[in-house]
Amino acid sequence: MKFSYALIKKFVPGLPPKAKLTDGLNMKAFEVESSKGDTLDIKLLNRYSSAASHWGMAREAAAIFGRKTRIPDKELVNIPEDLGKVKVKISEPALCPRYSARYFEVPKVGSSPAWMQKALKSCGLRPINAVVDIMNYVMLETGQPLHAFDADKLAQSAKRKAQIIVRRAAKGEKFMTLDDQKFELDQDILVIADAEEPLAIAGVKGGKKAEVGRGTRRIVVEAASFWGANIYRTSRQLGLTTDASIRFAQGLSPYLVKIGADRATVLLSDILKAKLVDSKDVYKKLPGRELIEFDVTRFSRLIGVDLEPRLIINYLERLGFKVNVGKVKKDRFIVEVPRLRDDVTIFEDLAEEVARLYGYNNLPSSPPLVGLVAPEVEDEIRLKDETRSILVGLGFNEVYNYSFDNRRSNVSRFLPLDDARRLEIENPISEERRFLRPELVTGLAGNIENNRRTLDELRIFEIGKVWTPKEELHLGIGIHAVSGEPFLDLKGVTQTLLKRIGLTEFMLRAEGRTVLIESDHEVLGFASAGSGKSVFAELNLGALAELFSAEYEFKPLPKYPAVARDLSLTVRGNTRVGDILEAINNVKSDRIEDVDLLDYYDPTRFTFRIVFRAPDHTLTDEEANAELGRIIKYLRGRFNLEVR
Amino acid sequence: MNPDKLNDIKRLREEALKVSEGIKDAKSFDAFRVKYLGRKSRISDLLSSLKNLPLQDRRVVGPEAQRLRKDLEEIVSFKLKELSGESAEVDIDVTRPGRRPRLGHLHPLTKIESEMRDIFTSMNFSVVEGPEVETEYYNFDALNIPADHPAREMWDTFWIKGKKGERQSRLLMRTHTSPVQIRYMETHEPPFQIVVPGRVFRYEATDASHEINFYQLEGLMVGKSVSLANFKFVIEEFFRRFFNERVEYRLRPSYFPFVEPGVEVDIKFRGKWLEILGAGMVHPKVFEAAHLNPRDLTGFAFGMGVERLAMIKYNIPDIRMFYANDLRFLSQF
Repeated sequence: MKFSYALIKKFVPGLPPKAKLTDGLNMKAFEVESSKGDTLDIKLLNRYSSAASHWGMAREAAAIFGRKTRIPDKELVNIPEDLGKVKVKISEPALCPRYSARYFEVPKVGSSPAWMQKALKSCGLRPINAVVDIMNYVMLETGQPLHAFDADKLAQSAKRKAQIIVRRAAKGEKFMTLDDQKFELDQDILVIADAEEPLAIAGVKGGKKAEVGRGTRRIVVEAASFWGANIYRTSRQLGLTTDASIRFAQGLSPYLVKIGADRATVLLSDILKAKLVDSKDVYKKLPGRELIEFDVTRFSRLIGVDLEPRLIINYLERLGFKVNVGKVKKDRFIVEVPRLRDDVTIFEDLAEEVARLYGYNNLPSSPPLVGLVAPEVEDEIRLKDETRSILVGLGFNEVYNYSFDNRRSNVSRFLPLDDARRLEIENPISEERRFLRPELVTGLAGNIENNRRTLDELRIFEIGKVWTPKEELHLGIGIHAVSGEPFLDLKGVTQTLLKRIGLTEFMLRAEGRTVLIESDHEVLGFASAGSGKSVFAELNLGALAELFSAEYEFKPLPKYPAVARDLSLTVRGNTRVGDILEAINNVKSDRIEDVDLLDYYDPTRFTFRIVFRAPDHTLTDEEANAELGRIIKYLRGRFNLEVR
Repeated sequence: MNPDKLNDIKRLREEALKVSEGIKDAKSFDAFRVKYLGRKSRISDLLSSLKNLPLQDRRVVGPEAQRLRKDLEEIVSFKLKELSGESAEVDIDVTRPGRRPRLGHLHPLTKIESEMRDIFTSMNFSVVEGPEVETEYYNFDALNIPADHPAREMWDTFWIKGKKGERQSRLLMRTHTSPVQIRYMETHEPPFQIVVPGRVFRYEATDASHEINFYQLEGLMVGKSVSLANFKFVIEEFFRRFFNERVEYRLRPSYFPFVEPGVEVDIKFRGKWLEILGAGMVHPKVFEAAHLNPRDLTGFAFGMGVERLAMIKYNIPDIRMFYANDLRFLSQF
C-alpha cells in the first residue's frame, strides 16, 4: 500500500529522514518494499487494519522513534442529527454493523487544494473534484473509506428525504460503476441502494446513478463498517479490487466510522464551506473495551528474554495501549487495547507488540533445553534415500518433473485410468497441466526425448508422488541406449535394486513386452521393453516400504569349493529362457547354488552355467554330473529340447 | 625319518616347474594338469601313500606334499589366466588417461534437502513427511486461515475438481508444508522437534523465481518453554553449518496467521539482504486445532524454500532450471 512520507511527517513532527524511517519500519513494524520520491510502498500483510492509514503509520513511526504524534482526530459533538433529511435502513446488520450518513449542503464543488492533490498522487490516487478528493484523502488519513452520493439524484420520497437502504442485491440485478463497468449481481453481494436501485456495491465501488459532479449542491456522505469476509468475497467474485475493498476486507473497526465521518466533516467545512444539515448513525452495539492480562513470566517463556516491567509498559504505552499503573503488580498487569487495534485479542498479540519494539535482533540466541531422544526418520524417507544412493551408484541421474501432466504413456501396467478417475485440477495453469500425473514414466519419456540429441546413452530416474487416483510414492527408471540391449540393463538394475533394498519375496511375470513385478499377487511395478531403445520401469515405492526388511544376516562363508557345469540347450516351440530358468529353480536340490544365462545365441540356442556346492564336502565330478543329470531329466520331461 | 619321500617331493616340484614353462596352448595345459594334478598323478599317489608312513614321518612329509599340491594348483590357475589373455604382464602405457566410470548424479534439490535434513537431525529433529494433496481443513482452517479471509490471498491455490457433496473438506494441492504441523501434533505428545521436507504448489505464473511446484522445509519445535530466542539459536546454527561460515542474519516483524509473533528472516549474502524464511511462535489456535492445550505449551515453527537455498548456494540464476531436466545441468551436481 502506498504512503506519502510528507503526510506521515505532518502527523509526527520530529519524524527522522525517509531512509531512517524506512529502516525503522522494516525492523520493527512493516516491510517497506520500495521507496520513490515521496512515496513509500509498504507491505501490510493483513497485520492490522488501522495501519492502512497515515494516522496509523504515524503512530507506528512515533512509537518506534519515541516521538509524539500530532493527529487531528478531534471528536465532533453536538452535530445535527435525526432531523429527517436522511434516513438509513440496514436490512443486513450482520453484514453492516454500522452505517453513518451525513447530509451536507455544498455551495460549490470545485477542485481540491494543491497540497491535498499532492498527497493523493503520492498514494497513487487521481484527483477528481473537491468532494471526491476529500473522501479519498480522509481514507488515506484515517483508514476509513468514505463515499459521497449526490443527494438530489437519489430517489426522492414525498418530503425530499434521502433514503439509504443497505440490503443484499437481488439475483440478476444490474449495476453500473462510476467508471462505466457493468455487473450483474446476486444475493451474496451487499449493496447500498435508494428506494429504487443500487447506488453502490457496499465497500467496493460507487455507481453512476448518484455520482457527485461539479453541479452537485447537496451530498450524503457515507462512512460505514462492513463484514470483511463478505467484502473480500464480493471483490473476488466480481474481480474488482479497490482501495476501499482492500481496507474493508481486513475488517475495519466500527469505531473508525465516526472518526472518518468527523474528519470529513471538518475538511468539507474548511475547504468547501459545506454545511452539515443532518446526520444519521445506525448501529446496534459497539464492541466493549478489550482488556488483556500481561504476564511478564509468560512473556519471558515465549520470547526468551527477561524484560523489566517498566520497559514493557513503556513499549505498550508508546503504541497507545493503556496500562493501569495503579494496579501494577510485580509481574502481572492489565492492558487496555486501543479501540482501533482490534487485531490485538490475546496475550501473544501483546507479546508481539513488546518484542518487536524491543527489537527481534536484540533477542539473545539461546540453545533450547530438551531431553535427548534419538531423532527418527520415517521408513519411507529412508527407503527413498537408499534407492537414490543405489541408483546413483549404478550410473543414473535423478530428475524432477512437474506433478501436473496431461499425457498418458502406453507402457504403464498399473491400473489403467480413464479421465473420470484421474485427479483433475479445477483451475489448471494450462491445458498440459490439467491432471495430476498417474505415473512417472511419461515424464521420464519426455526427459529422454529432450536429452537424446546431446547424449547417446541416458540413464535417469525419478522418485515422486503420483495419483492413481490415490496418492502413491513411485520410482520411475528410464534407460535409453542407441546400441546394446537396454531392456536387459533395466531388468538387471530393477532386480538388483529390489534385492539391495531388502525385498526378498518377489516374482517377475512376463506379459508381452513387459515384465510385471509382483509380490503376494500384488503388482508392485513393471519393466517394459518399450520401443527397444528407450525402456522404462516403474515401481510403487510406497508399497515396497511396507514389505521390505533391510536387515542383513551373516551367512557362514562356504568351506568347500563350488563346481560349475555348463548346459547348452536347443529348444523348440515357444519355450523361453525364463521358463527354463524357472524350471531349474524348481528342481529339488540343495546343491544348486546359482544358475545364470551364460550365452544367448538366438531364441532357440543358449547356454546356462549352473554352480553346485555341498556344505559339508567337496563335490566330486561324479556328484556334480549326477546333479546336472537330474536337471536335464527334469527339463526333458517338461520341454521339447535337446542338450548340445 | 624318510628322506626318500622328501626328495621325491623336491624332484617332482623341480620337474613340474620345468614342464610348466613349456605350457603354450590348451593341449599342453591339459596334459600338464592331468599329469601333475589328475586322479592318477604322482602327487595323488604320494598323498595316498602317506597313510602308510609312521606318524612321525607323516608329520613332516604331509605338509610338504600338501604345499606342493597347492603350488601346482596355483601354477595351473596362473597358466589358465595367461592362456585366456588375463596375464598381468601385457604391455601397458600407464600414461594413457584413466577410463571414466559412469557416474550418476543426485538432483541438486535432493542434495540440498538432504544437507538441510542432516543438519537438523544432528540437532535432534526428527524427519516426517505428509500428503501433497491436502484437505482445505489442514491446509487452511486448522492453521487459523479461515475461508473468505484475505489472508488466503497469500497462498494462490490449485483446487482439485471434486464431485459435489462428495467430501466434507475440499481437496487442494497443499500450498505449504505447514499442514503437517497439525497432522503431527494430532498424533504426538510434546515435547518434540521435527522438520518436514516436501513439495508444495502455488497457482502462479512461472518466472525466474516462481514455479508452480517447489520444495519447502518446515520446522516445528514444541515444549513447555520453547522460545523465540531458542528459534534464533537453532536457525543460527543451521545457517552456520549450511553456509560453512558465520552468516549475518536478521529477524523482522511479519505476519502468518498460524504464528504469533511472526517474523521474517533475512541473511546477508554477497552484500545483499535476502529473504530466506518465515517463522514465528505457534499460534494458540493452532495448538487448539491439534487438540493440545495452549496454556501448557509454546513452540516455534518455520518454513523455508529449498530452491531458494540451492540457488544461493550453487549460484543458480533461474528456478525453472530445477524442473527442465537438462542433463547437462543435472550432471554438474
